[in-house]
Amino acid sequence: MKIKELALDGIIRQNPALKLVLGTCSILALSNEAINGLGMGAAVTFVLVCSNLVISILRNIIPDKVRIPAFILIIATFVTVVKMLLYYLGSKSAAIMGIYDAMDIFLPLIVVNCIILARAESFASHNTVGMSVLDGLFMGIGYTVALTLLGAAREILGSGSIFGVSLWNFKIEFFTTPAGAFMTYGLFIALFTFVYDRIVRKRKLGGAKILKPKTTEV
Amino acid sequence: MVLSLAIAGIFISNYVVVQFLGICPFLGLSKKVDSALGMGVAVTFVMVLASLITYPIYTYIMLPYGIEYLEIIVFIFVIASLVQILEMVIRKISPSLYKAMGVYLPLITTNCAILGVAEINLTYELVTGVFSAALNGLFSGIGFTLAIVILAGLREKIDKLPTPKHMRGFPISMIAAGIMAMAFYVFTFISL
Amino acid sequence: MKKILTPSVKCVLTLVIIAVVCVAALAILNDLLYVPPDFSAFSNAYTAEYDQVEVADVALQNGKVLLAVEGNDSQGKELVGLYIESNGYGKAKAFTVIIILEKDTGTILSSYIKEQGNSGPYEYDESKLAQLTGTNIADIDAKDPEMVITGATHSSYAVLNAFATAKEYYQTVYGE
Repeated sequence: MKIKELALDGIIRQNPALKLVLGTCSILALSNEAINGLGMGAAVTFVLVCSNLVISILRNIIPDKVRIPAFILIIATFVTVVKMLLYYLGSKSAAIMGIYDAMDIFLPLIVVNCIILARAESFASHNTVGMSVLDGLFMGIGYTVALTLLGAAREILGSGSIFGVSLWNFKIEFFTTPAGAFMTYGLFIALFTFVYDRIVRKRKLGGAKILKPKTTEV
Repeated sequence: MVLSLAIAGIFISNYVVVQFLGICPFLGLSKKVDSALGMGVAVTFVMVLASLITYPIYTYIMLPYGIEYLEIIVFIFVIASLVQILEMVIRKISPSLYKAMGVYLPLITTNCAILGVAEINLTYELVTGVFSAALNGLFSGIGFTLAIVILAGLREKIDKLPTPKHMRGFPISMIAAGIMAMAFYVFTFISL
Repeated sequence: MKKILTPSVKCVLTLVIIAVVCVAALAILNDLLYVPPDFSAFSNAYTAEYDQVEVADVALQNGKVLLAVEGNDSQGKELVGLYIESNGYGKAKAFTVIIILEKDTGTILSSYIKEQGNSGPYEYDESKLAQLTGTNIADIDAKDPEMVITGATHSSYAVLNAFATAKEYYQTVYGE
């Protein structure tokens, strides 16, 4: 049962990209194409899962006073691992090298991505290994889904393609510019909150009986 | 050369609205112009110091010894230490400023712009030595401050307007940032 | 024993241990995931069939030979291909240059700059390198002020260092 809660939290209720709005730098930069969103999301998920795992294992050993430096050290290590892995895989596959090049400086910047530190601090340091890993996984999935959708939207509208496959000739180049990034992301957040509130309200109204105070007629 | 760095850092490759660096404090702290300015100055200060320290470490120690893969760990360690020292200094010099900045002071460590400038210094054509690296840090920081102050000004005005419920907070700030980005986009057509 | 493990010592010790473990893990990974330089670089310079040969252990002053190949072009000419990372010069960082030489004579058949170190805001001109094609590697003078490859002096010298490296290597391994 708890797993379902974690999943719902990570992907919807506390979606790091659309609800908590953390790690915005990477989101804005890597949402120009769907494949970039997917790649960045995968990298962040990897780091999230690994760092949550290690931090959770060590949670009782790391003294409280040095926890932030320790966390950052561990996260930085995994980010370096991802960088090495991606470069190595990139030398074998041009597609992966494309993602690596698109990420440019945002790959090392994963280490200061607020999502990872936030989850480490608020979840992994107080919970069991299994739960922490799952939390990292679901948060990562939520981030990836949001980022890929945003990337897809910007790519379809801005270049008329999806995942590099050309769809039609209709392009609004605005969406490939930084301004387009900001605005599309902002509208996404608004849309998400709107739909989320709607669903929450519907559930509340649908579930519980509405008790209206009976007006007493005198 | 200084002029190129300045124009590039502040306008053409503005860290916030062109390169997407330093967005978190940009969004979180830009409600009032004074706090935005304070944050901008603090970040610029750390950016210069970080550039001054990380560039030589990478070029003169890490490259010759072949340990570049430790770059991320070393850089973030340097930045975290710098912020820690900054915190202690501000606490001593101006307790009121320390209180005003609150939790955002240690958060400077996770500011993408600082680690960003350290990384960019390593591959930027205009950076050829420690001095230009520090200058790049300075001008990028000024660009960041400019952007964050402008947005704070915009937000102060926006907060007084009736905004649709779901657009309040992040969405409307993003739209404002987008309009700023459109303005700065013009600069990207300048070639040095 | 317990007296030594005061809270502050514990803090520092934990951090140091974590740091050491992390650095060690990364060092191992760095070796495992090493990406060797790309073979196709040689074909880009001069079309031919290449086989990798072992890089001879030669003390080189101006750079390193990362990869060496030998090959035959369509006319049966024997070639030597060298993937060279030159030392920088002054402000210019290392340049990676691919040089194809005729095995028997040492004539430069083709060359190009694969990776530039910083050469300031100037672009480098491919045609300047073309000047070297057809000349003999033995004629290259690394300190020649007339050879301007890029727009800046230091980077030109850095590129010339690559050629000087090729010259040293070629004359040691293939020369008489």
